[in-house]
Amino acid sequence: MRMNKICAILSLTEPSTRDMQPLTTMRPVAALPMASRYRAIDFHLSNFSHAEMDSVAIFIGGSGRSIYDHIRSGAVWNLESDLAGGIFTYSQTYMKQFMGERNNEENDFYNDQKEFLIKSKSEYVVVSAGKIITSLDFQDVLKFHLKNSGDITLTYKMVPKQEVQGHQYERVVRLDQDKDVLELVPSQDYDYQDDTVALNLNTYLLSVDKILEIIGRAEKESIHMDIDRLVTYYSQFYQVDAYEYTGTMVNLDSIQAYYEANMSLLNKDYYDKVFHGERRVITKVKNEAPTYYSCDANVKNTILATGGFISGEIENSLIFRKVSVDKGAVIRDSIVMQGSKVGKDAILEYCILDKNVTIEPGVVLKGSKDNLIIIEKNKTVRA
Amino acid sequence: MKNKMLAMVLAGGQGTRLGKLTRETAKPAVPFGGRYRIIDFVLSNCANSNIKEVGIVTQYEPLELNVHIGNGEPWGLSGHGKGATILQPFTNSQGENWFKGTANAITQNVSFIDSRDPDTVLVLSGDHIYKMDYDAMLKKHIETGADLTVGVLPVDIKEASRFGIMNTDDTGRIIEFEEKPAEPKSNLASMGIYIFNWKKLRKYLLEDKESNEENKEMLDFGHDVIPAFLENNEKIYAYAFNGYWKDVGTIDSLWEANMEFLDPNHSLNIRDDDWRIYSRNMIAPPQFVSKNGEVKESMMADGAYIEGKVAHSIISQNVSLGENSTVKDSVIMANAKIGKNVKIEYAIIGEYANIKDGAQIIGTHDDIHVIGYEEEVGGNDYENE
Repeated sequence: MRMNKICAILSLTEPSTRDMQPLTTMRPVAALPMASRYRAIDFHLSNFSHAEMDSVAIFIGGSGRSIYDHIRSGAVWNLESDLAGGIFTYSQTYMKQFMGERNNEENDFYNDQKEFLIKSKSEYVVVSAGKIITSLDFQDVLKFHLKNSGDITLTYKMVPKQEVQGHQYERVVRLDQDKDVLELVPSQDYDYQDDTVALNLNTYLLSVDKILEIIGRAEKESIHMDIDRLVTYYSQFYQVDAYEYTGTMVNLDSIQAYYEANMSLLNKDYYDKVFHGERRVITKVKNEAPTYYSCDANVKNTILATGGFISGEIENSLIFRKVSVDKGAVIRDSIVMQGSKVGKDAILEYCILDKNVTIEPGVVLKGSKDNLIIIEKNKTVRA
Repeated sequence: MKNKMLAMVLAGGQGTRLGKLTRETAKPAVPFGGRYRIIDFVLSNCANSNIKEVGIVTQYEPLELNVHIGNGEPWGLSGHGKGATILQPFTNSQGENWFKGTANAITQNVSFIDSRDPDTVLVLSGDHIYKMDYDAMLKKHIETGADLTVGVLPVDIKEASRFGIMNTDDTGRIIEFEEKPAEPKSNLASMGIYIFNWKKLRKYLLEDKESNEENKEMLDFGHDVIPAFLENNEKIYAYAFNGYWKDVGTIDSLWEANMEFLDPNHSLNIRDDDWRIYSRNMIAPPQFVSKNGEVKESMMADGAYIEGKVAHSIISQNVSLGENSTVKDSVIMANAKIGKNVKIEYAIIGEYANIKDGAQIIGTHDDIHVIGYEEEVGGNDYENE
């Protein structure tokens, strides 16, 4: 075991909220395309990479095709499987969970997790889920963990109560005056007296020994949970310290939040921080041609990926790879994902087009800030 | 029939006529089209033609080129039974071995080629921009039973006297080769692309070397090897290529090729998913056109940040363009930083160049202005004021 070495387990098995549909009908939240050429999981993997981790396990609910296709060897995050490290992916977690609960007996539900933890030869593990995106510095979290003598370090961020109240799956960290953790309260049970509350980021750091102990208890008690929920559940039995995170955060639990997170990148300072800072986000390289702008193109305040073919007017928008926008088309305040085609003279305002959507010539779709229009993957919208 | 073909890419070209752009880098490493280097076209052709092993012969200022090629991973050349091997001149007991010509570069790498044990060797130049299926050429080579197949490009007969011209019979067999003929008999120009049966070529290169007659040494394919093959009645066939092909040997032709590349109907068809051009690029964020920015008739790569106006130009990775600046009919290479109130016309701006506020770089259609890599322009006047 290497001293102070950290590995990570990322659970992409969280249920998606209703407010995120239909963008997450066919993909885990972490596979959501973000920022013109990234996916949400890039932000997690980049944090792991910046913390110099070399083993990461990813648990996926279904088949995980979109995740596998994206991460490949993991080399771009320095997570290529040489020596002991690498990215290890485990799919069909939902089915295993179902089987485990049905049989209601001791079984091998946690074998993958245990094997990964032991083989990683790490002393500490970060346990996280995919829905909340941060730029957490896990070396700093480890420093905090070592300074305190607790069993588990949880991470939280102070947020306006509206960001928690009424949000289905969130937990509030109830802290005493010394910022010691009293309990984790599900959002619907919390007594909202203050304007800001401590939102649990669902990201924990603990020793590998401690998590193996927790898994052992779960096996004995025949509890089958995703690893992040398992730590949340058992935290009541352990000494927990709370690390306050003050950086930017995106909680991908509604389309509104997803839209605003993407739009915020149109602020140059924030764009520079995310993409040019020391802890910039990393994704895999795609060999697309540079984007072509025709003599009719009129693009303002917009972020675009490569492989595009632009002849229309675009303002305040995010355009992903291989998007074509024909002459006379107008796109404002919208997100257009990979491979979508916007036909001649079409008008889109406050729209999110999922991948490979076709908007036929002349179609007019006008949403508003509070009423975004979502077009599902592979759909064609006819005039 | 299985035929193992090894590609040998000659990438030692100095490209003297590219001036500042090749002072410290080899011609095949010169950037092109916003996110490529010239050699990407040949290496991607190899990848798309299902060639698994490539030797790349470098010589002149090879650092940047060698870093770019690395283990060949961007072109699918890393892994079991695959490989990109960089071959450089070396010294041995007979002395130093600088490559003295195209054929000599192969002669000096015979042991590498032998170690790969190919049936055929495909000789390519790393200097040219085109998309070609070498596998189709190999099929033809096997079909005709040739000892050598030469890739030829039909050129305008008026231009033919500038090229090495292949004269063929009705079956496509080459019966005569004329270097820059005053009165060309055909318009089939050699592209410097050859498929040789390795055993045959090896014999010519090595037996000749042993005969040790200085005046007969096989230094160059066009000048020495093809005439010797013809003299001995070896079977040489022409393989005609009809697509876009460009040798960007000069500043003007490099600029022109980039401007042609801007044409959305360019026959190179860069957006064709079935014949992608791969490159080794740093990861860069998406491009950003600000609220005052304007981009027309241009191509732009990722990481670019545009606050000024761009017209009919190529903007490469991570270029920044400040407010009130204009770029017209120009090629801006990666990581160039262009300040405010700058005017650039008919120019090529090198990688990492720093064009300071207020600078003017104005060339003309017939005299393209070049700013070198990492060169700084402007600024001093302002400091002195």
